[in-house]
Amino acid sequence: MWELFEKSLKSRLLLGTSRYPSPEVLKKSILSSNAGIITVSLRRSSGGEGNPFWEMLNSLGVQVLPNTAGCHSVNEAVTTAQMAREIFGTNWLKLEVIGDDYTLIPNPSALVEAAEILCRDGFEVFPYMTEDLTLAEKLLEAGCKILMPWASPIGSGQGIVNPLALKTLREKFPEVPMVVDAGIGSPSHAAHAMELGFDGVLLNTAVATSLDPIKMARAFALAIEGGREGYLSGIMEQRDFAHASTPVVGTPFWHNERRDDSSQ
Amino acid sequence: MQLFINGSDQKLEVKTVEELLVHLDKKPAFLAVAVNKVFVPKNKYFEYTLFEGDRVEIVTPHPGG
Repeated sequence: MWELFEKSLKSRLLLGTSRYPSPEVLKKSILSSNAGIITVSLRRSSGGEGNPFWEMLNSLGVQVLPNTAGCHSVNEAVTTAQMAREIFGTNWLKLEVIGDDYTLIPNPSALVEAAEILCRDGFEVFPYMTEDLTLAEKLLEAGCKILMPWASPIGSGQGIVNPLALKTLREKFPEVPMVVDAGIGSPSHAAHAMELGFDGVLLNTAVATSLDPIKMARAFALAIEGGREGYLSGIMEQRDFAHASTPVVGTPFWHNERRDDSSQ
Repeated sequence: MQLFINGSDQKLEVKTVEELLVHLDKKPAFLAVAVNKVFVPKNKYFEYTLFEGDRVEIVTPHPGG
């Protein structure tokens, strides 16, 4: 369980809904992931009928987090957010304002400006951001109560490329909920983020494009739980040299062997 | 009147957002609307007048990451 903005979430996994081989596999992956939050988007409507995707999510009763994916300006992001709030019936918003199409790196100044407007308008803004410390400060000043730094570019599967910066963020803002969002490729990447003390992990492609998304969703759930438990238990300090884990005292033949060695 | 609906230009005789949605046979429960990049809430559909050349976006829930 994870308490966030007065809601009890089932887990610390935030799962995206894009790129699955079929709606059925998506549904089963959501169930096997036990995800606390499910991300969704808005796209142009092509038909007049219902929306099977949205009806399926409703039937599962999941907490959704709409995004502003594809927005490149403050105006686009704010308007998309307002449309999302009306359709999805939530004031939670994953704010994306893209600055560069090749890396999908967020535009920091537009991100802060949009966050300011949306926070004033009553949104809980989950900003998708780089791991930049000063950007984090500005987003918090803008009214964000949660931060979502990337591990690496969206869909790259590279895992955490700058662990030092993420560690610094975590240490600088110990009270702010933080989710590592984007770039996660394998369950060990997610465990790594949780071991660094992050509150959650958001991923999509790593599950959706795996050979068995339903099983991979569960693998991520286990990794995130394991990483969290590990963090809470206090991970040991690394050492440069070996340190025998089995006691040396009482080792049989210890002195005899040493004598034998020296006599050769 | 010429309107740009989700990026494609169409000649339609409609006066309001409500009339446009009825004409297109879209269910309001599954969509949201913006005109010229400004959000139009559901309770304004009846009174929101459309003008020549308006750019209307009609969006619906979709998978996303």
